[in-house]
Amino acid sequence: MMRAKPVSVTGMGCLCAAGLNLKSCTDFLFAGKRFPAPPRGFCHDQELSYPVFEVTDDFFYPDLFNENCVSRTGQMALTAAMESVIHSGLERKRLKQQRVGVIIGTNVAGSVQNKHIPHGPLPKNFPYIMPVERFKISNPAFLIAREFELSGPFQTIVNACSAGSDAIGIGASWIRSGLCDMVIAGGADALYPITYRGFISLMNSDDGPCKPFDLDRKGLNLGEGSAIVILESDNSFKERGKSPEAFILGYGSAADAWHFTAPAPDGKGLYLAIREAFSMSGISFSDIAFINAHGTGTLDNDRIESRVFNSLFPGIPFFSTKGYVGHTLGAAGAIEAVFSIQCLKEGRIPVSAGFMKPDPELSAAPVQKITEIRGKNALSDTLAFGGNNSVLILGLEGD
Amino acid sequence: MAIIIKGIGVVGGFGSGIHSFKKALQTGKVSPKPLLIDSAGGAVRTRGLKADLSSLTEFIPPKALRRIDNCTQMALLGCYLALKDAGMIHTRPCPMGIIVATGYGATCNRFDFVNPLSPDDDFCYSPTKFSNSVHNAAAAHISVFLKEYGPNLSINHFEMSVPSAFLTAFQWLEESRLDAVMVGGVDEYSKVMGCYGHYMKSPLLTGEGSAFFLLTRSEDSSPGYAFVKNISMGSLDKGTIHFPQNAIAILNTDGYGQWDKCYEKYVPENMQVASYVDLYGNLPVGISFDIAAAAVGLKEKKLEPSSDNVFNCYEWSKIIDSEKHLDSEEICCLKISETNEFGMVTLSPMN
Repeated sequence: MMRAKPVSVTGMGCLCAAGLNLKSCTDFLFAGKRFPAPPRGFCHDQELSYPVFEVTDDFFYPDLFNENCVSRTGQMALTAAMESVIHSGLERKRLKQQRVGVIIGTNVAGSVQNKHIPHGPLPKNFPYIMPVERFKISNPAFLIAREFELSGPFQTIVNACSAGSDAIGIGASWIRSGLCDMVIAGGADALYPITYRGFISLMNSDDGPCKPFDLDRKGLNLGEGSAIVILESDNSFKERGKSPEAFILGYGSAADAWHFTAPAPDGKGLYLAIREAFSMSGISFSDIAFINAHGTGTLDNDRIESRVFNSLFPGIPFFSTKGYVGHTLGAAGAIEAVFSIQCLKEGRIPVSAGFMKPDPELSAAPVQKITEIRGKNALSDTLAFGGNNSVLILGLEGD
Repeated sequence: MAIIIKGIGVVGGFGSGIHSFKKALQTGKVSPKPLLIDSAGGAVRTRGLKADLSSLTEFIPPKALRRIDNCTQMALLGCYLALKDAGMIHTRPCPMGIIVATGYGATCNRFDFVNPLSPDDDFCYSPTKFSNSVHNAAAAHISVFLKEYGPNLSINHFEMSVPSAFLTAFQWLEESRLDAVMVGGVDEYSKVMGCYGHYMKSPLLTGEGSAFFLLTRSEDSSPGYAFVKNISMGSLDKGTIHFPQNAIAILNTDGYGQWDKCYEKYVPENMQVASYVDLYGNLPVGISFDIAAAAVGLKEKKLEPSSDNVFNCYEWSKIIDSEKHLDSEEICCLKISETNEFGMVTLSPMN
């Protein structure tokens, strides 16, 4: 594959347990704090409660939006999208006039809200329709397109944990191909009881704060949030006198084809995705300043990532942010992409929260202190439930 | 460079495989199944177009399918049938991308995650059922069974899922990322929609099924069904739909008159139209069956007459209601959603 043209990122928005906008999220990471807690938003009467990273309920301001949105995931997507549009300096009028696409990764928003549907026989007055209607109008890509009156293509990716990365990677291809002048791309997912209980049933959740890459790691903590980037063609941002914040240099994705719920022990899919991303970017492995790992805190994921990092990127620092914000599922890849861009701009990376004791079985260990970095490029990877691996290469320079 | 449909795999109320689909197109007949849905007001007797998955064991041993749900099995069967139709079961291009589009995903009938041994225990979830409820389950299982390491994508944008999936498949091939993409749609029968259609007195039955397409680039000179010429998507709040000259439209009507009226607004009056929704039923990925009908029609140079009662609420003058010979016409497969979005996949003849 030939080197692909870098795609400009001209705006970003983010909200998660670390903060309600990108600046507060970034400040929180470097403050080194974390506050996992039992879920507030839904009942649980288990003996053990598994901590999560929730967003405060006051994040959504309905008066700012034209769209009347009832789903929490949709509200998060709209909030992050609004921040990204403001950050990019775009006016609504300009968005309406251009070919603007929307592509969002999610997990929860793709589901009919099962908890509202009774398990037994259908009730006489047929309230089943309400959950279905809600499902249809709560699609985050649809909501963003309606809010900003956009006319371009749209897509909702439900690739589990890699959905946000895939959305950004595919959105970049829409710019490169000339299909769109701009793309609003990212991910959004709210905490959801079925996901919470499902991961517990799979024995993938830690009953304490998660510890990515640590010797005593026991699993993940779920989180919620959204991150959105504005991808823009050169002609478009030059015409309005704007400079890019960063660039999407490369994107790769590949399947493990191994097992439905466990990653391939040899990391084959991750290797393939990394190679594709670098081939597209035209840069070499040594040009990477740091890696923002998927780092969920599960035994298998962290083992495989550390092996691959040690093999391909020996000595290059890496960290996981899931110790700060939890595993935000469909939003994770997008949140970690914007965090990576912010770290490149600040010239430093945060401590990998939750990591205290190295695991002798792991080939590499994340950073334990705030670390200065010198390079202009970063790698952010996600390993999804079902075996998909997605990799983004982000840079501060497009040439 | 052009993108070709090399193989088609279809599963639905008409049976499984391209021959069953062609027969349904020719005869206009399918066999709905009687269905009973519990309700507090008594059992609701309705009918639906349910898929028969028995032929999946030709490709996958029954033991390997034990923990795989209905929705994923339909997708698997669609993929294997497409590979078989293309003559590529054993030697397919690698890597091959996999894109699965779904409207409801696997969760629609998975309302019950509770352990059947303790149904009142609200949090004793079945890990198998939870795993299968994740929307990328079908695509993931396909990659595992086919041992396919290429990129893997699942899309859930309700009725726009299939056009969106074709858009990405087209791009992946056009940018030479891959030599082949398996793209298709799958939706499982939903008792919710079955009841909804019953109470709303829809003329269409609720259906389930999958339609998958093996797409390749046209450097390969072996024959196929049709070229994928273009995919367009957008919002009708902002604009209109641009049809090519000399094209026929296959419309994915829902049977709910108030929404289907919008086709009359946007499709040119002099354009010939067809619809085959009676053969596979009302389901969000229904347009994937229209694409199959279009591809078959272009290969055989004829379109079959439309289903009998789909145009009852229209005043079209140019309905294709008898066999139509095709020459150089393109076929536009169009879906307009209730939220005023549209997706259109245009196919053109190969010679």
